Amino acid sequence: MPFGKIRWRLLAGLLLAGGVLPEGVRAQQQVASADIEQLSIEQLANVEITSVSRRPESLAQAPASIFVISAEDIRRSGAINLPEVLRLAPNLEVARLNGFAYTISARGFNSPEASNKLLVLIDGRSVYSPLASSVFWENVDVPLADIARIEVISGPGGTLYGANAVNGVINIVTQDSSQTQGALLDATVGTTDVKAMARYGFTPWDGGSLRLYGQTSHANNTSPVLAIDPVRSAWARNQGGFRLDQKLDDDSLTLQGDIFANSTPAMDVERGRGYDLSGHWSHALESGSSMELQAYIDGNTRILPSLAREQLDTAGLQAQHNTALWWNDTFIWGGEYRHSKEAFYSQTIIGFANPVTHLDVENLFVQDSFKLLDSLKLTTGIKIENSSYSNVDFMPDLRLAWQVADSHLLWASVSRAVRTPSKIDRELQAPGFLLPAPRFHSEKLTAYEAGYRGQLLQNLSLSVSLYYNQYDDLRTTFDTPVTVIPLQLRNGIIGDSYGGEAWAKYAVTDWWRLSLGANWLQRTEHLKPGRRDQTFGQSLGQDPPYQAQIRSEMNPFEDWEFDAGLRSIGHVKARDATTGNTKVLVGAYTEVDLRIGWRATSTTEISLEGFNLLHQRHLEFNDPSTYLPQYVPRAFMLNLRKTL
Amino acid sequence: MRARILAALSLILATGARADVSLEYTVKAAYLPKFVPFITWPETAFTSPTAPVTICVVGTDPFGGKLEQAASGLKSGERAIAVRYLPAPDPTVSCQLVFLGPGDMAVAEGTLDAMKGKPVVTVTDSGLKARGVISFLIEANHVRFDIDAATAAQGGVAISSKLLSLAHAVKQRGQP
Repeated sequence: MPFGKIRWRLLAGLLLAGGVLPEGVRAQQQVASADIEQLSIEQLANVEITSVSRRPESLAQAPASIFVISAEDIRRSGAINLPEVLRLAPNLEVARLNGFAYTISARGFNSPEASNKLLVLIDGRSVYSPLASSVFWENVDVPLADIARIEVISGPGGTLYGANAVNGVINIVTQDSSQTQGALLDATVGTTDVKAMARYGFTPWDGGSLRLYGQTSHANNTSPVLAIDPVRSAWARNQGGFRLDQKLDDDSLTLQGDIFANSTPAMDVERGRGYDLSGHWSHALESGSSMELQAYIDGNTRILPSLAREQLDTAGLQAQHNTALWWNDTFIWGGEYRHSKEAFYSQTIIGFANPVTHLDVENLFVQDSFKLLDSLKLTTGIKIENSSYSNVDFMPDLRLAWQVADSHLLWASVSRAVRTPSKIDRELQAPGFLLPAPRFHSEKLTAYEAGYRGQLLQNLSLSVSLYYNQYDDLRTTFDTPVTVIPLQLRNGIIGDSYGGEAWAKYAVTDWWRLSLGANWLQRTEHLKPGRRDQTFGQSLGQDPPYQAQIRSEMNPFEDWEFDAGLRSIGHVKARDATTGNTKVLVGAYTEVDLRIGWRATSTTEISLEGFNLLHQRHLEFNDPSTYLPQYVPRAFMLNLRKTL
Repeated sequence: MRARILAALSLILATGARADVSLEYTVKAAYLPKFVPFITWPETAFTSPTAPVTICVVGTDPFGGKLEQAASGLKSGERAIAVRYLPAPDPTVSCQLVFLGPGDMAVAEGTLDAMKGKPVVTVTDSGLKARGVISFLIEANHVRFDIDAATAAQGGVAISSKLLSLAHAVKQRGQP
């Protein structure tokens, strides 16, 4: 499967030692590089050298639905935080809940409770929580100016990424510190947010480079929908960190870490703090193959005053070897071991009999990619994963890519992915009301996908992906016959969904670019025989049937940028969790963002941004059982970016 | 299970096998011979009127054969394009384009110093602190290059405006 979990970017090439390669490998290279050599010097600058098979591969050849957000896209979006940046990906659903909380998913199941089928990685480190199989976005941030790119893959990533990459993977890759030398100051003042970031990069010794950063941000309260909602969700966050890169002859080493603390200063609703530290080593083997090893630790605390305190400590180790088995293939294999200590101390009756759980995940994967014909490439792999909460899960994957013509690729795939049980699935209990579910097992997906990606005209590129997903063993809240309570979580829903994602980039002139994106989703779920669900499908999330966006980026005069974005999101219709009545929970909405950027001097950039301009406020999500609904406001911001 | 995983990881560390050159270096290998037609060397740079334009890779070879493939069949005017690999800078070899790979930083800096004022176009890899006449860089996951036309001019080498227009950044003649 062609996905780029651990993208250690530019390093791979540095690892290659000289020496005589076997004849077979030379033959393989001739096949692989023939296309590149024929490109003109202008076209060479457009070759994307990303890794979607966890190894360098041209994006144009990846048989998967992958959208890449570049550093330039991030800068020109004016986005203030990571979830806002992710709105750029047409294959994601992003909904803001209040001052600090977001929910994000791919291909459906969006809600804080239901978005448990998406894996998020920052430089190879998983930020996914084993408590609920979800991501607590308020505890995830990366200095936006440090991001090299974000690869957003919709669809299963099970083979290379493992469990929980069921409906997608978000892979955030930060820049090598040699690319962020010197000082940068990035400050924003706005009607809703204040944020400042400072970064300094330097070369402490030959072959080494280091950057240090600190940032602080504050987001205002959002206004509640319900009169009874007392929550003041203003959000303050401080974060700092470093990245050290060291290049040696055959090796490159990266050490990076962050610390953060956040709080809701207007009212003590939620507090958090945490740190992470990870080391990565890439090594070139004499024969030309490469291997990569990464180890990390991560500690994360969330405090919900008078409700609960969660402390999650994780240590992970992963390794990968890129090589070839015979003359025209690429073979990747590797493994991962992760240990988490998940401690959840509840101050209410809903909690855990054993607050502290030790969880292990271990997996091995292999993938081989080879040409059946000159233009036909088959990629097949399997991941075998074992975790404390599940038996061994097998995640096989088969992908076929047909290079119809130079810049036209058709691809199709069939794959299986699973979501392993979370601590909540297995152990959550409330005496007399909810029983723990020691037999809850993995949710499963079989996905069929097909797509086209190519260059229709020299200035027009298009990607279209279609999918059909079959889910089994999704979560229900099962009742006890006659007395109804106690309830128990069970695997009881099967479902189908189908849909598509498409995006296009069109260069109207050399100073005006348009990007269009859209997705649509149709889904049906039903209970398995004998199963019931007392929450009326709350575990299925709230999804709009369609989303569409268009972005325009203009540079009409030297040093000036005029950017605009329009997004239109369909209404969310779902069953009310308490009454079971189907109704529109969130209305359809359309919003517009505008930005004017001016490069005042070669080192100073000033931009004025307006977000959500069409309405004073709008609602993006509505599930009072998780967060009381609050409106997303219109906002204006002024940004100064200075390099020294 | 844990012990088995760790055993497997240590096995990975011990295994050596084959793989291909990364796409990044395939692209760089494709660039090098394509620079040549845009560059005009003084006649004194060549040993004879028919001598080829020689691309020399000094130190570590990151291309693993790709460069010969990319250069084969290409010509610059009447001159063929040849590729040579030098373990270290060698003044007895006539090179018109010298690529300094991701190897020894000190060798790169020494070579750049030695080449200043000579009719040689130095090309430095991305990630190297030292920068030649042409220096590769990775921008937003694409391979781009900067050109230092000032240093090229010191060696009597002219770089066409077409190539300058394709560069990510250009240091013009007369600029400090």
